[in-house]
Amino acid sequence: MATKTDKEGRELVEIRYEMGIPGTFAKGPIMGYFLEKLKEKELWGTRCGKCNNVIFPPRVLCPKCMVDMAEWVKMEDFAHIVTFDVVHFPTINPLTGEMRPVPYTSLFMVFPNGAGFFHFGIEHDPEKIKPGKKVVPVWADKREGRPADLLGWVLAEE
Amino acid sequence: MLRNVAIVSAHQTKFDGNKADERFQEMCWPLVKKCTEETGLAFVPGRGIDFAITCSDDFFDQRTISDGPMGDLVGAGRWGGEEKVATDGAMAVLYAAATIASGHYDIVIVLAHAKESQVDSRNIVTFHAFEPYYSRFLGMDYTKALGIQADSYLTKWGISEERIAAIPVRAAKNGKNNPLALRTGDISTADVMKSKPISSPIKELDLYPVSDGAVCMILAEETKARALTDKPVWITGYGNCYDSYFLGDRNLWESTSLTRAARSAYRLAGITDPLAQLDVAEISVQAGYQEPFWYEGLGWAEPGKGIELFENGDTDMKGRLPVNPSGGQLCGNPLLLSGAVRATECFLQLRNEAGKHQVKGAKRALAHGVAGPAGQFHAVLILGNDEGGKK
Repeated sequence: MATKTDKEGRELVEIRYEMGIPGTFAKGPIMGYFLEKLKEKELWGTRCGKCNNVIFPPRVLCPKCMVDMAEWVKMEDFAHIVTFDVVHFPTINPLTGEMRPVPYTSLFMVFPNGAGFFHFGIEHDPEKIKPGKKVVPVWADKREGRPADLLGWVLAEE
Repeated sequence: MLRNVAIVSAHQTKFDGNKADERFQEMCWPLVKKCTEETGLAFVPGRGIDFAITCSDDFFDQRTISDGPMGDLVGAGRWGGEEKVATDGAMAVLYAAATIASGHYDIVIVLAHAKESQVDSRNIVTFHAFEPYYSRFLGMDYTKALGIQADSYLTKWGISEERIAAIPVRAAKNGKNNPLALRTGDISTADVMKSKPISSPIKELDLYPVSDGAVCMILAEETKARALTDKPVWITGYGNCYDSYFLGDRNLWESTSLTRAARSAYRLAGITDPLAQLDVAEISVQAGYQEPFWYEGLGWAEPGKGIELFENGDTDMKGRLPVNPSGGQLCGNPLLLSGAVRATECFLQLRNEAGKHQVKGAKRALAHGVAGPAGQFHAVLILGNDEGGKK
């Protein structure tokens, strides 16, 4: 590897350092239930008993009303696109440590009950993705109760 | 101080070695509920809780902006403000008090959380506190720094390891009366001496265990504090001071920064004779040697003589100044959280709500927090109930 130098030809000394802080995230009962239900190809959110808003993915409390969530709500198996972004710069998937293939699409969607959320879009052609279009989930063949069980969302056939 | 400040509500979790069944929000939310239900306060700047101070650490939480998950709990989106303190929790309390004393806010919530168990090793996190060119290469971390300081302190004053081993013994004994403590029980100095060596002269039972937990409290200015509780606990003095980051710059057997932090707190609270004027103290002892060491820094004993104060029973439950009736950090409070736990314990003591570890008739208390390698940073709070002389 060629030595890096400054404008006057002096060697630039650098220290290459890769940082790692391995650890374990607790799922907790709320996220645990959500992940467990992915195995059955089911999406669950929580409803606030005060404002009636459904939040997906589920939360411990309603951030608007600051009360415990009242009940579990099974989400419909389709949603509609609100907005989207096709990403061309590569990023690391923090769960695998590997580079994510580009391009990939972030879809912002809304369920029929009004819960907004974002996830991957399988379609990367911005001409084909339009706000208002209907999307359906694409599931991994082997599901282990992990976030990656839900691969992403694809445009529904009209 | 410009305006009087009181803690009006404070709650802490049980401290566990691994709260594997709770995420950060699940650990903290019950405490926020207790504090808001007790005071009847909502997050409405100007008419309720004005501002939030959170306390946590990015590396322990494995996420930059470790206060992110706390947003839902402390009123994000309600147009108040939030600041994060990434050092000992006593600083979070101090910061909240300062925002009220200065007149910026009337009511402030403090929420501190830590899950040391989440990372594979606490030492990996504290290793990253050191600069990468030299100290990291040498494998420095906080545990190792404690060992170096303990060696330096014990050697300087000729104190034996056996004498220091009595400190975790008393902590575990006091902790038996604290239902929230993690590591308690009847142990002997022999048990401490033969426990696993960690970083000489520090042994396993001599070092604070890995733990998870959280603290929530609400502070208010005087008029509002009076309306919110019958038993306000006034913060009558505070101070903090930090020493050099580079261990080699410091005389490790003396704690100038603690002396300065204490002096500032004593001056504000009008304390000239701490042993006589304080009724109870909760100090952050991460490893046994720190207990006598901090006594000296706090001005309770001459340098090298702190251990005598401990040995003659002055700081026992029935002594002149009971220290760590809760058992303290040696019974298990995470790094960063200890100062907030100490302040909460003082709050309970001054309200006569400490249960089996209550110091009878306590009116004035001292809470202490420490952060950084080998006691680099110290924060000291003086608290008092209505009889304990609010300023």
